[in-house]
Amino acid sequence: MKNKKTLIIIFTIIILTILSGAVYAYFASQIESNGDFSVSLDNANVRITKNQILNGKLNVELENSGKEEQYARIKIVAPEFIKLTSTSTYWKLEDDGYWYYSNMLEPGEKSSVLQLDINVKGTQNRDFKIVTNVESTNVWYDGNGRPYANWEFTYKN
Amino acid sequence: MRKTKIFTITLALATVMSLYPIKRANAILNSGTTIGVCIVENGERLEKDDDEDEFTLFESIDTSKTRIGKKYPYEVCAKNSGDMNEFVRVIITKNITCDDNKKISPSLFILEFDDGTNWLTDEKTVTENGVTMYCKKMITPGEETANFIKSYMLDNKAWGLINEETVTEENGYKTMNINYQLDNASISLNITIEAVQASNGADVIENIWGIEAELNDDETEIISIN
Repeated sequence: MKNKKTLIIIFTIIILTILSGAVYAYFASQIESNGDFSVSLDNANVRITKNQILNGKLNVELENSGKEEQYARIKIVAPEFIKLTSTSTYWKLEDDGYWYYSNMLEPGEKSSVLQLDINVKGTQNRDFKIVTNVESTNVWYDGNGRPYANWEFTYKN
Repeated sequence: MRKTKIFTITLALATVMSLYPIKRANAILNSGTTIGVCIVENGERLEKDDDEDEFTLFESIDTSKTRIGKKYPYEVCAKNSGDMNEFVRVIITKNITCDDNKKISPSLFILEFDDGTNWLTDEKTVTENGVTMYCKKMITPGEETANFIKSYMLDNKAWGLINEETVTEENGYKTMNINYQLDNASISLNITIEAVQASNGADVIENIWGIEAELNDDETEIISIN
């Protein structure tokens, strides 16, 4: 009886030893790596640095005074008897009535001057007022990394 | 006397049997006795000081110029730094944390993973926080895996997440100030890389990683995981 007990204990030791031996036979390794960074999302901030009429021409210049790249556009509100035309580089009048600046403005960068010829219909002298509105938007990127302006997100200054 | 004899024989038997799996493993491996894995970020193997527990990501990258919506190349792979063949898996976790602890979906931090050519995605682990992926190919000593991450970007949707809008007026000009949720938020990434011996691969993977893996005939590639 005593021998039987001893045998059971011994065989239990054997089984446990085999099992533990099997587990420790595997080779495994692990490393961990961590990292973080923060992003800064600044407001679109384009301001008018020049808005003057000189020799029958309206001159408008913009500056990106924010910390992010921006696209900008201008809408000139003028009476109906005024027709505004321009051949200024980088500026283009679109069907929606906005003058679009084609280049992205880097922080601190000024646009080229939008020079508009003021053509008054008729010969009668008239007083008039011209209002310049500027809109800007943060730069978006498409799937290929190309920048573009998304005018759905526009902030009017 | 008889008892002592039985005990001695049993002890000898136990020792031989317990050492057998190691001996067998080494015999099958026949390629060394150490297993190791390291992380390679944009072609550079990351190093750490002895007193550090973890490797640090993004250290060699100028993340201060990260722009919303722009995709940045970010290639990360594993390398076998041991001297035996191994199978590798990666556990990737990402998070976005704001100063005010406002919850922002980590899905705004987009990681471009391997498209399935070289890594198997464990679909059960896919969440907006991360994923676990298994390198299909057995990696030999000194060999690098294919990149499991290829690029990162912050989703354009971040422009739409706004805390507050205020309008101020000065010198006849109105200015709208927008406080974005993602402004000054911390984007974090954690990558754990695990390697197991390739020898007896299916059993080892099941025992250590707890998944069933089907290997090809010569046991050098994981065909599927379950």
